[in-house]
Amino acid sequence: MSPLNQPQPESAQNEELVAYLDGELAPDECRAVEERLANDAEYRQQLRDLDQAWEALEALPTSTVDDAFARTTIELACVAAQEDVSQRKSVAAAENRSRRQWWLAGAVAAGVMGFLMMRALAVHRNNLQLADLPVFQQGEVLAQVDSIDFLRQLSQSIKIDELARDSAAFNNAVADFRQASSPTLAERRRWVDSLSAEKKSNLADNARTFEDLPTPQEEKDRRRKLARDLENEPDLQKTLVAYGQWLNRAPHNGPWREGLREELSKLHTPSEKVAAIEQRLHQEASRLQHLSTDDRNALRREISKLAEERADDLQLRKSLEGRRLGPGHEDLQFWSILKGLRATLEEPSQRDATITRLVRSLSDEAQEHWRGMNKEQQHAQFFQWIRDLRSTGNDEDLEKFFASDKVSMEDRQRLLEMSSERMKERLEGMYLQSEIGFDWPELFEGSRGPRNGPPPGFGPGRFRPRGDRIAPMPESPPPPGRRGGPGFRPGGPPGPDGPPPPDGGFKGGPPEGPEGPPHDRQFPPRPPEPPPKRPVEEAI
Amino acid sequence: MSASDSTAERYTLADPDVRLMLQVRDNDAQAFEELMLRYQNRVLSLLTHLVGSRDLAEDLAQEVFLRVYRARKRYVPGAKFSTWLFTITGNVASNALRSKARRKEVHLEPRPNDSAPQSLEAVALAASAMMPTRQLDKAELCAAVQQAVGKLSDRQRMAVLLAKFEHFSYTDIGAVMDMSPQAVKSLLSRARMNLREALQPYLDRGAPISGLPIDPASESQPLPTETST
Repeated sequence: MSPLNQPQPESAQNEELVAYLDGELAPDECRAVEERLANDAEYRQQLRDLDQAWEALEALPTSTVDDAFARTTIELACVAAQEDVSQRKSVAAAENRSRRQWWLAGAVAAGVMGFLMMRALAVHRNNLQLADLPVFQQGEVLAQVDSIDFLRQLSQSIKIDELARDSAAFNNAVADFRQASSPTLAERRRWVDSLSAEKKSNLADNARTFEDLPTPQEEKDRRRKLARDLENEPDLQKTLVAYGQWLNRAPHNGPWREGLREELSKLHTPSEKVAAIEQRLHQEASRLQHLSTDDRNALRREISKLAEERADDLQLRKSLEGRRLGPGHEDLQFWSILKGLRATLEEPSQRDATITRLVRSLSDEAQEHWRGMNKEQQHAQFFQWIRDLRSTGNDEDLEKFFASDKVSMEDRQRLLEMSSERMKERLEGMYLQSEIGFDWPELFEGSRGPRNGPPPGFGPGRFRPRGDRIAPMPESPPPPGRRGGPGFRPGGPPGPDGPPPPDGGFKGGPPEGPEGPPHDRQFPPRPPEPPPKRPVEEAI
Repeated sequence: MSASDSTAERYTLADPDVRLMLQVRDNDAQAFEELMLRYQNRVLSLLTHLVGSRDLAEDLAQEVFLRVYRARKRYVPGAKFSTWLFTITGNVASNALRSKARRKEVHLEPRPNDSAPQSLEAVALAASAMMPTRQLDKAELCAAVQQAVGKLSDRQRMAVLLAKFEHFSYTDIGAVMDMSPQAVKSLLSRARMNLREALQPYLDRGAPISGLPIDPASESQPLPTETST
């Protein structure tokens, strides 16, 4: 060893730090380094500097061969094989081997060469595609994964089933990805051969899409390398597939997904990205969808059909008895049916089957969204959809009810302190309870996701009969996707083309003044709302 | 390469590339092509950083695979296939560098008017001045890192590239470079200290490093290039 290579105290210290960073220290050495790091700021700085310089190497460009490289090399190998044959011939001649052996060696080598040439010219492209099979299969999600470290942290922080909700689809996708990532091309080829015509066609589409991508070659190679690195990481393969399924789930399409992509692109470290995804998952859990008009009608029809099928049900009959509401009150009639079905929807032995049946009446998109949720979220979503059925309610009736003596001054005050959307929800609950004894108040407590509290739908009600104080509730923002406008505000003046307020309707602003109960003072009256720009009917 | 039967069996079982190479040994052309597809870009990248010229690196990569093919009959699994392949790669690169050094053609550090990266000091100064865009930061970083890697000795560079991009352990690097793990530890330590020293002006004044993606534009920018004299 030269004098320069003699470990000096400082170089020994550097070696120790570098080996620590490389994970090459024994556990006791590791502990010693960590102890010193904890107490020595200069040592820590040295570690940071070394690590930073090491990380900077990521900026080195990678090189990629073109398609001709493998073909040319194989052709050169053919030449090499030919040279081998020549050498063998010479040796054989020198050793005076038999003519038969000579020809045998020549025939074998010619066979190898012929095979190589044939493959070089005809099969090379196929093999290139087989080598890229994992990229074709999971190309979309590979594009969203910066590094294997990101997947590693994702797998440590988030459970697979939080990302992939459809376990059957997930298992199939993982099995396919593993087959596509088989260690040999022969195995991959066998798997491709075994696919159905439709799957082969999809795979071919993916291949074309990948090859035609306008992204730089470097990015394509990055995805290839990532797929290759995953070949020996079965757990991370699962994480990749689950992440892809999460990204592709219906609610993520459109602006939400673009927003996520943009947000993630601004973050540098895997841990920052994983934290952002966790936050999105959190939001998603409380993200309930609303019904489209078609789905709303379909769900109403299915509920009515269910009620007809159970016409013998005592509770249902009792609920419908005496309800001779006549034309214009179809909505109350419908809620009476729902009231009668409450037992069915709350009875554990029937609940799931009944809800599943009702959900099946919805569009494929709504059903897919529902399937993508866990049990708790499904219940929350189902009751959100039931709440959505209210929107066909008669606002005129609500206005009359609001102004009637069936609503106390105290309740009016509280209602007016709520947002328009919220106010309407609560008022409808009060109205249905008052008119048909509908005591399923959770349905009118607004959209609250499971992460923000217990799922609505089951459990004791908070809504009390007339005269009782309405329990203060957290405000919830108006649900997305609802028809716009200022929302329902009883008593607001109609627009220039709107109908006049109904006789006896509540015309004035919120009741204010000293008669308000003392505890109401903690909720100062809201300033008068600006008049709606459109008639009430249009605005809801 | 010699190895006991149990060692050969162990590597054959554990490493799919070893299995492929054994098929190549049996004249399986498909297996040879598959091995090439798996390694060609990695070998080319390593060689490009080792010899500083993309064209030369491509020729050398071809030579590496031809050597693999020619040596197929003598192949006995005694280590991971990648260790064997990168040993050949290192030898091919060393030969090329020696031969070029004899002809005094190698200029791993750029000349002042070259299209290759600017001097490190210039890069660092530029980074601290009116160059706010991220794209520019990436190009600067790429240039600075190429410069720093170009300043390492051949052996340090080889060890660094194997550790960083092939995730080789000290033992694997030792197998490739015919050194003990302890010697690799010293070599890598010196290499990383040199890198730190070379990059310090940029890291102190430049943009954040961690997590920056590689600038696609820098692909076309060669490493410090060779020039004929």
